[in-house]
Amino acid sequence: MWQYLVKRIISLIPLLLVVSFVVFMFIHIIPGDPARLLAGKEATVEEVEMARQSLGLDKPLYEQYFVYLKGLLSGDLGYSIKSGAPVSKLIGDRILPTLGLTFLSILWALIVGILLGIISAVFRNRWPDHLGMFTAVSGISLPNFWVGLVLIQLFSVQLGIFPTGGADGWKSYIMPSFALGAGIMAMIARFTRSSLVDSMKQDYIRMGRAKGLGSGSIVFGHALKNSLIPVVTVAGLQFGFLLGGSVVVETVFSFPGLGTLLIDSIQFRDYPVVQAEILLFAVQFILVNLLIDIVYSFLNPKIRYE
Amino acid sequence: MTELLRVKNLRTGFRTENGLLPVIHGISFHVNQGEIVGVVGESGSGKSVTSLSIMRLFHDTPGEIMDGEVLYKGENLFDLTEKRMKQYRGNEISMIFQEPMTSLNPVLKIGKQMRETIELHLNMPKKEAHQYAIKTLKSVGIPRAEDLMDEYPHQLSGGMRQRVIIAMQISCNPSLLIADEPTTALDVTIQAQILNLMKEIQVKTNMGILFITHDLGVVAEICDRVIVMYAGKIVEEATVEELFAQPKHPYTKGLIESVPKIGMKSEKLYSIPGTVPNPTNMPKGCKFAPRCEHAMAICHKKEPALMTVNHHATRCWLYDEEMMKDKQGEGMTNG
Amino acid sequence: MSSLQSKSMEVEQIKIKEPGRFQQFWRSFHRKKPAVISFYFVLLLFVIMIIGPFITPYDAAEPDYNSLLETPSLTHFFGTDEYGRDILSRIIAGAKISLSVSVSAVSLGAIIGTMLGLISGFIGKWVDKLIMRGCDVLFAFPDLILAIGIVAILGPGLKNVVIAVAFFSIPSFARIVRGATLEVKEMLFVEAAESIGAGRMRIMLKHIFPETLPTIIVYFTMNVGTAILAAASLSFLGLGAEPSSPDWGAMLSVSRDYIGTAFHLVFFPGLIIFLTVLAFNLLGDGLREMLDPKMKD
Repeated sequence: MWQYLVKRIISLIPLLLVVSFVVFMFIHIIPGDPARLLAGKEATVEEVEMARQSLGLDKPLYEQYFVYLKGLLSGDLGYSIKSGAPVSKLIGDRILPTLGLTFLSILWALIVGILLGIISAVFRNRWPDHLGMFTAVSGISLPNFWVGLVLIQLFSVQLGIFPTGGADGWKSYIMPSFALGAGIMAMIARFTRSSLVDSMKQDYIRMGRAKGLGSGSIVFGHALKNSLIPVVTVAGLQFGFLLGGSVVVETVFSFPGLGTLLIDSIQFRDYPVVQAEILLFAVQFILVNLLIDIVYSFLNPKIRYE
Repeated sequence: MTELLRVKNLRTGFRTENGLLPVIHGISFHVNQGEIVGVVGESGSGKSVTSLSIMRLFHDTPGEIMDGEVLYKGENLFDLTEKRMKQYRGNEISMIFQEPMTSLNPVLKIGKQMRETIELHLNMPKKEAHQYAIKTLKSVGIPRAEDLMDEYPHQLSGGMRQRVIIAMQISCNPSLLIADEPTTALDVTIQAQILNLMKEIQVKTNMGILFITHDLGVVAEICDRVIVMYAGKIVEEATVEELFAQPKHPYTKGLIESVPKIGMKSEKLYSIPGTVPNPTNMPKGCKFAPRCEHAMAICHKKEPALMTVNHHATRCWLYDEEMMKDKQGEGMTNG
Repeated sequence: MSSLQSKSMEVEQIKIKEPGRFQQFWRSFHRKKPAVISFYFVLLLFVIMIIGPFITPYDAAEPDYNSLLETPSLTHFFGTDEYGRDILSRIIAGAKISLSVSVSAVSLGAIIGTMLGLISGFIGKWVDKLIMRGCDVLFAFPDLILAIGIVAILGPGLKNVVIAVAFFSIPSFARIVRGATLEVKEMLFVEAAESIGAGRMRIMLKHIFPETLPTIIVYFTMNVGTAILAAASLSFLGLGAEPSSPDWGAMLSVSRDYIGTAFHLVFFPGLIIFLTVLAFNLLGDGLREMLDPKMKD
């Protein structure tokens, strides 16, 4: 298995290089002079030239990329145009609330999603199933920003239970993580159901029944473990959905995280921050999927014992 | 010999969009203690559905028992609640399936899967069940039983898995074992080993075995009595010796002819033309008539009844006529 | 089973064979209630998209300072906004924006993705590797982040939203079509066509593409739902439609300021986005169950 994991990690290196190159090119694809973009809107001609030299924008592209890559590896993500602060510091200030929000969302989404999926699979084609799956397809179709706004109206404006925004204390995490996790919860529920229904048709289930096992042992002792292995993978793929959604949900709740930083930076044309954030989101996504692969290989004895 | 199992007029169907579609059309047979009864027929003849009906194993499938009785030691299994029925499965009546590769749960260790049955039916604590499981594994000829308990199914060969399954299913000393094509998926040499093992166990424990197969060669080797099924009905029933010496139904004859024989030259193997009719589209009259080389006019019109002469039952007009001739012959002089 | 019953089943079987593939499809489609309702809902939306300007009770763009922020009533079913514009009329006008943006974005993504998938699956070798590695790179970016990045490069506006949303649907179409192509390629008739000497382009267009079409249709339908959500999200973030336009996402973006004072501004545009996406998803589910038996449970 270690061999498999090492292989898997090594195979990520070219992907990370290409992704970083694509993000590096970001500033060059934007119409206009990169030096002017990086020096800011109000920069004078001299300032633009200075930026060009100090940032090495007069050098050939490949050389610039190596400089960029070296910077990345040493944690240098450039400087914000807006505040002049190092981008790594801006991101460092915002990353914890976003990670907390994402973690809470995926946590409740997994728990509720798997439970809903199990109920639907067990009561297949009966009313709890229909209800569960209708809830799920609704969850996938809900615009998360609308859910956020409705929650604010209900729980902040009318009931006054939760704050409308910010990230002060656990109360301000409840509504955003609900809005953010709803879609994923629904996808996990759907997938758990179909995976479990599929497992229930396997030969070893019939074998279990022939041994005299009851429905409880069949579902929880035999079918569920087999069904949850693919659910893990799907949850990993949906993590991207969560990262994208966090930008929107953070905006709704004026949540001081990476998402609001990204949108603010886009509106201010603070390109170094935008560039760094997009790279960060992609790397996060890639790493989460690596993590999922590792978990998967631990859960699946076929890979573990190779 | 005491009677262990008696199936009476069993009818089983599948739920379809157009309603319940019968696939087993009222079959009756019995299995005695210490007896191995073979059920043969091509795929689609209803052998497996029959075995699943006895065990009432139609969870999450469209199968449904429509009518009939299954008397096990005199008690009708169809009258039991699911809760009571569970106590019979794996304990009184066990079952082995065709696919050893997929019949074990891939994510659970052999030990856990072995113990499960033992803990459930014999009320043993975990440790004791563990030792008992090892003992049972050894009794089916598994040498490194201790190590095996900690392994996963994919680490074993097909033959080894089938041994594990047999061990699992005999661990609670059932009186009846239903084996549904237990050797079909295995290599020929392994097949022989598994058959010997089953025979051995049967002699040792005196249990009854209902052996389902499409392979008459296997039947000849292991069974005492044979039931031939076609399109959800019994078409012939006799002892093994009788059936091979004097097969009556053209279908049985066809099956016997299609078994390869030792010393046979490279001649093409005989096979019965056509296939088993689809349950949605059953022929009128004898279900085998469209494929039968002896079919007469009456065969296409009316279904023959199962008739028993000297413990040899056949469902075929040919013999009905012979009997009629015999009856007529008694009053007539031969010309 | 009585012989009479079997007889009637025989007749039934023959009857099913008679109508064409489409009628058969239509008949079994009508058994799936949610999908059918969704189908008519989507159809209604497209009709509204076309005849919208003729049926709106009020002018969607004309301010009416005598009726600002009115709550829903018999004169304004969904109420009015901060300029006194009728929200129902604006939602009807917005249907055109939402549908045209999402459908054209997914079409663009589907066309490019399908072509790439066909080429990748059919030619194989290094072309396949190159295209699939390219897809991996696109997949490495979460959908919405990719779209936000593209809009950040190209600037805000609906045209760029179309491009951004198209972009993230390319790799999934490419992968799915590639998989289907490989499957079809295995089948005998392609080999046969090849041995006859039919050109590669011809094989791809005449044999492989029609076989992969059901998968593409299912995927297309489901992606329209996703695209509507993504486009609305971008507009909500201020990266899509102009704030003054009746785009559903933009209406919600503006409505944020009126939460607590005029909730109907928030409620109705969001509800219509939800219902539209739901309809596309249910329709996609229904189509998938019928066209792609493998994906059934």
